[in-house]
Amino acid sequence: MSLIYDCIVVGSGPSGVQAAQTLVEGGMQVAMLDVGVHQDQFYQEQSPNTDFTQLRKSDQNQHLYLLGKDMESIHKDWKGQHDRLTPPLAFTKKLVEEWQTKSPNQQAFMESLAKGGLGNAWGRGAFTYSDKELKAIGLSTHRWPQFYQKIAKRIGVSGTKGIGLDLDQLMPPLLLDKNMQCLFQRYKRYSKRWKKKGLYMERTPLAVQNQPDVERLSEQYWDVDFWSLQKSAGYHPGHTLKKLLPQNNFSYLPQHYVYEFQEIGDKVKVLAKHVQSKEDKVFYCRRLVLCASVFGTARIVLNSLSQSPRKIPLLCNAFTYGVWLNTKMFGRQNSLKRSSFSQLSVYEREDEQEHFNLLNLYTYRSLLLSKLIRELPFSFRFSYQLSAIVKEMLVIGGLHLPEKAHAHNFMQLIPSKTSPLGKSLDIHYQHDAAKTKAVLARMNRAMFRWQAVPVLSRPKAIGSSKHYAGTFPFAEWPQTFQLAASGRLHFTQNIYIGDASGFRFLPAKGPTLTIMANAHRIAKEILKSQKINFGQPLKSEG
Amino acid sequence: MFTPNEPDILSRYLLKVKIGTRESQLYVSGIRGGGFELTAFEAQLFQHMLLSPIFCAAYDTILSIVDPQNQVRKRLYLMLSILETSPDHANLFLGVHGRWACIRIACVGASKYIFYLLLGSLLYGLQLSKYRLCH
Repeated sequence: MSLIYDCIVVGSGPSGVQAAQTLVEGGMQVAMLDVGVHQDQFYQEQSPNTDFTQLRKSDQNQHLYLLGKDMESIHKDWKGQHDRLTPPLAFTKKLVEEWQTKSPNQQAFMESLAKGGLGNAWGRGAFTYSDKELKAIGLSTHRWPQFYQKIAKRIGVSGTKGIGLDLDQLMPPLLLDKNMQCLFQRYKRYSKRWKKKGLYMERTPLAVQNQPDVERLSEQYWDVDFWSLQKSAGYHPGHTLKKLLPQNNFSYLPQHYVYEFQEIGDKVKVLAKHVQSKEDKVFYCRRLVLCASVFGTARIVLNSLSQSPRKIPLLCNAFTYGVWLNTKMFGRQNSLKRSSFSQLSVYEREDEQEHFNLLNLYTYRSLLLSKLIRELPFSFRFSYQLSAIVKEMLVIGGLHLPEKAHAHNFMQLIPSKTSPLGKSLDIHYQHDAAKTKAVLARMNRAMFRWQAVPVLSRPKAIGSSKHYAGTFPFAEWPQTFQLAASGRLHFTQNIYIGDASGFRFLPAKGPTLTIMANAHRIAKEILKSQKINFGQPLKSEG
Repeated sequence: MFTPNEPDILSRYLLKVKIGTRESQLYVSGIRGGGFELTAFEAQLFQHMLLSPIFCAAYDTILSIVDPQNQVRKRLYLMLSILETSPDHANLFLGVHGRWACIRIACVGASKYIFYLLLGSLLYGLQLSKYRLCH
């Protein structure tokens, strides 16, 4: 019989690595099964290693990573593709099309087979949810501050305490550039009045290190975070995986595409295909933790437990982006020290339940001006002139709306001739466009009062928020395809789901920190159920 | 379809700069990499466009309204991106500072835009009629 692991974690994204770390620290013998596409050696070597403005003036090879070695970013921009990944981060989506895990008409719903999963493309927003939001998700609020604090300590979170982040012992927030300082000052002048109206502006909490530690740099304000994973102070799951790899009780098994599990007595049989040889591989464990992202997990669970196509719910934040011109910045030069990440967040209280709409604000530097020129409805020459004038005035905002489950939003696993596994996910999703428009109009009015003139807004394709949840919701009473509070799938003995599949509600605030804290919580539940004490590792059966 | 003076003319239109061999080579390898093929009508427009940067401006202006996804504009976009990632021209993309400079550029740019829009409509109309007669 092959080796039986105490626990197999599927996926190496934010939830997978945090669950694995807790289990490994708890003494379990853990294997991580992952497709694990890694970043091209080429892009690793080409990583920019200086300030973005400086490298633009000096690096002869900048086109290799800014446009891509095969000019792939030109073709992508021209087609208006949704993923917004720069060439060095494009590996995040690699192989997904080959495995045809979703119907081709729903490509804006992003899935990743990369080492680190969607965590590579994460905007590093590290928001905590309020007690009301946690309850709406289906989670008990008991001990959540501890779970959040634990993850914040592992990944390093900078920011200030407020609606978006309720944690102690934070690193100080990153510097604000001039553009954002102007906005923030104008908000603060009448902040009491704005708060009465339900509008709050705060520093965006970020999983970005503002103090150096042994493994990671502190923020250098090089503004190359979207171009280089190596030189960014932002956390990504690769950091945790790097820490786990030398551990004796941890095995990372890449190149495995998990597609099914079977419970046999008190063990779980996990079936995977080797990505290159396409051979079937079998693994055994006592506990299986699925952290393969909402789509990956749904595919595995439905393929294993459902004989006929079955509709399961799906949640996804509506996402729209807007562009404003900060009139105070006209003709002025912005600060050179800047981070690429969101600097300010505007929260709008939606109802008595304290659900918020969220607008994350960015300034425009670390992206090429030609991307903006391409969006304008004029000739390239005139668009170039206009863009060069307004560049320092630009405020880019990403608006996210909270989402509840609706009967018309669902997905199912259906037979597919094009997929190598013979099945793919068919997604049906609609957003309330009128609601998005109304929220954006209110945000526009507020921004106008802060002297930022709205110039453009574009609702992004459904699914492009990259925030997904709710496929196997937490349920108090046992029901099929739903989760117990411990993260265990009802009517199974040893199958746990550690990603956002259990969330019954998706707040507008970025879910990644909560997903990681929840994965840590579920791993603690598994340890508790095994009655394992720290420092007493189980011996694996051979 | 590729003509040797193409990168030079396009860069003169876009930024009013003369390019070196590096930018020229990048443009050629970009075009040869595929994805920039022109239809018969697009090729006819493009050939006429390459006669002068003024024609480039006129056709680009009208195409940005009637057919923004035209492959001719994709070639312009390629050249623009190459220029932006060239250290020699990077300064031109790092923003304009000074209020009066901004106002002057906007006013001159807008008046030229209107002129090229009128010229472009005329030239595009002529080219379209010519193409319809021939096909």
